[in-house]
Amino acid sequence: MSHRSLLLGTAAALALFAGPALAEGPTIKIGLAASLTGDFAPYSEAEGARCMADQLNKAAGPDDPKIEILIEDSRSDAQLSVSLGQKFLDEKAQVIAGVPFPDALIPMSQMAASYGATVYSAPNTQVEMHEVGLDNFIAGAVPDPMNAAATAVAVAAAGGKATVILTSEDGASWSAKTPEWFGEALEKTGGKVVGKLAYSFGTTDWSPQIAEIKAFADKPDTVYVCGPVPDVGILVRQLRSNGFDGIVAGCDGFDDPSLEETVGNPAYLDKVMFATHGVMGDGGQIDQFIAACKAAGYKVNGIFDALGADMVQVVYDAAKASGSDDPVKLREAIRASDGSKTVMSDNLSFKEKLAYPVKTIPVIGFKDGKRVVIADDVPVFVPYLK
Amino acid sequence: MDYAIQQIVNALAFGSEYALLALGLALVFSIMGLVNFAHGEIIAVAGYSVFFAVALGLQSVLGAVTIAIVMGIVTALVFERVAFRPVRYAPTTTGLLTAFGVSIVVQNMLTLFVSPKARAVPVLGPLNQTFFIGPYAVSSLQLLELAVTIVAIVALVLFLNRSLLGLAIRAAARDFSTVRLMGVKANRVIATGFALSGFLAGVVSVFILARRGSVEPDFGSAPVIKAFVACVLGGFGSLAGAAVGGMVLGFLDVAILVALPQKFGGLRDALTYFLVGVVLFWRPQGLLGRTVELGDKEV
Repeated sequence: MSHRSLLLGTAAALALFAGPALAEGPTIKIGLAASLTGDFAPYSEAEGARCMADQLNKAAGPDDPKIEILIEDSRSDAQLSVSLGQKFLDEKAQVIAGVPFPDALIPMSQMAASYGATVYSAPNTQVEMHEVGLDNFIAGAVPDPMNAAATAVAVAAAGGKATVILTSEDGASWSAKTPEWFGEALEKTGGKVVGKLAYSFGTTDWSPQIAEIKAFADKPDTVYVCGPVPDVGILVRQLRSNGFDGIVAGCDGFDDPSLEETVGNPAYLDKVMFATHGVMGDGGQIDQFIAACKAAGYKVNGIFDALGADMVQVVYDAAKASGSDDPVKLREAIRASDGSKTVMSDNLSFKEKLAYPVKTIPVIGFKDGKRVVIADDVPVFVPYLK
Repeated sequence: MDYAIQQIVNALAFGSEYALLALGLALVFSIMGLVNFAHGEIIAVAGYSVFFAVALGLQSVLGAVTIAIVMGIVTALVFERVAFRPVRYAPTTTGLLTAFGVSIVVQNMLTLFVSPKARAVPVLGPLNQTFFIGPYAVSSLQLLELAVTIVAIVALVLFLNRSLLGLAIRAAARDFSTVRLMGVKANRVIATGFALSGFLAGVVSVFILARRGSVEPDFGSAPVIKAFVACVLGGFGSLAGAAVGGMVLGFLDVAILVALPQKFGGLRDALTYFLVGVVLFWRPQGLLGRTVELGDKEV
């Protein structure tokens, strides 16, 4: 045997034995048709997801999973979300998400089913997604009826007994039904709904609705609305300047850092309260994560970025547990897990409900213009959900 | 009764804003035959100019109003010079497409270079104070809108009827070629029309900012759709029609909001457009529009 043959043989033997040691963990692709622009841009989870993926990838060992985030702007458009979802599936994404509303997520889930992929919508709260029997859909947030119930308990505790609810068809059940569920839960506490009014997203002049509120025979002490900022911030400002000093309550749509600036006068925020997904402003895990991401150059905005980060953490943990990049095994691992330690929760688990987590719901109020947590419980009575 | 009067005040405020918006569109259309859907982006640029000025330390309401109006005029003139002048002699559909193009480019630039999210601009808040006259809550902004709309209409009518340039604009709206044969410079007439339109856009931007307290890239585009409907309703090409169309649309909006049962709230826009359709079925040329020969379309 020549010297050269001996070297080649040795190299081949080394390569053969080194094979398993060089094996890498699975690479998981998460495709986000994110609302980088348009109506739902304040509620995008994309930057938080990117930041968390970066943190996990940097900390990962050679056998650990790698997370690859694919992001395209859906312009808050449902149809564009669906098209982008198809593109991500063609790029072999195991997990996809789009505009967090059923008109985007239901067709995306149906499409993803044939690929075995999962639609994991971090900010989705709408009950429609849990009613149509989609096996491959997971929401990162609790459904709206739970959010509404938590708010009702807090409103009742603050003395709210008679509410006007404002509904809009523009955000499907999120903006149309959540107020109804709030009313139902408030009635359970002994309160009542004294009036219902309609509005459209993009409303900048609430004068007609405010005139109606003032004209009700039963004077309301609470106004409830589930809509986006700046609309809800403008409503608070105009209600206060028209002399309404009761409670203004709402849902996670209020949870954008621009709410306070939109309202303007810090005194107007007294008796404003809303249920959301996690506590910020207390220097806790979420604040630390957001600060770290900002320092790393990510344009994170708030609580919805933390939801995006949680999604990446949950997927990462599932990939690690399953040791596979197979999308079906990944989903099974997510649902089988006893829980992940995430930015927003010490134990985020989908084991009980499979399609959404069960966790406490913080209700945020204001003191001297600053956010404070006024409740953080799992509501006992939850309307609509069986 | 109190309630009805309160809602009439609200409808007047809605109508005033729509009328101002519609006048801006109608001015340019009457001169160039162009439906300038980029009018919304003139409003947006005026709003963002105030945002930048505030970021640089501006605190004065008067300063913010001046900046919005000046930037409205400048932006309208820039759009005319850069985008619309090159297609002045092209078919109207080319002009329409150019307007959409300008609108999308500006929105995308604001999204990319500023932010897709709303940015707070609280400086004009003092313009929007609520006070009570007996049982009626009246916003200073509502009164301002109504007053400014009336002044704007009167000033426009005087300008168009009494000044040489105004007469040239009116004549150009009828027959541009003849006006040019009489020595009037087309560029001057059209630029003046755009400048007036930009002035109105700046004023509307002030009102929207004062009420909303924030700017975002599609800040002006949604209101312009309402303005377009108001123009069609009043009769495209007629300045008086634009003002009347805006007012009627404002009253329709409030009346439907108030009268429609809550469970049919989602049909509000559909009902508005249905009623506009009914009016146009009765008067296809709009409330104050001229009948235009559209040719024989009999089967």
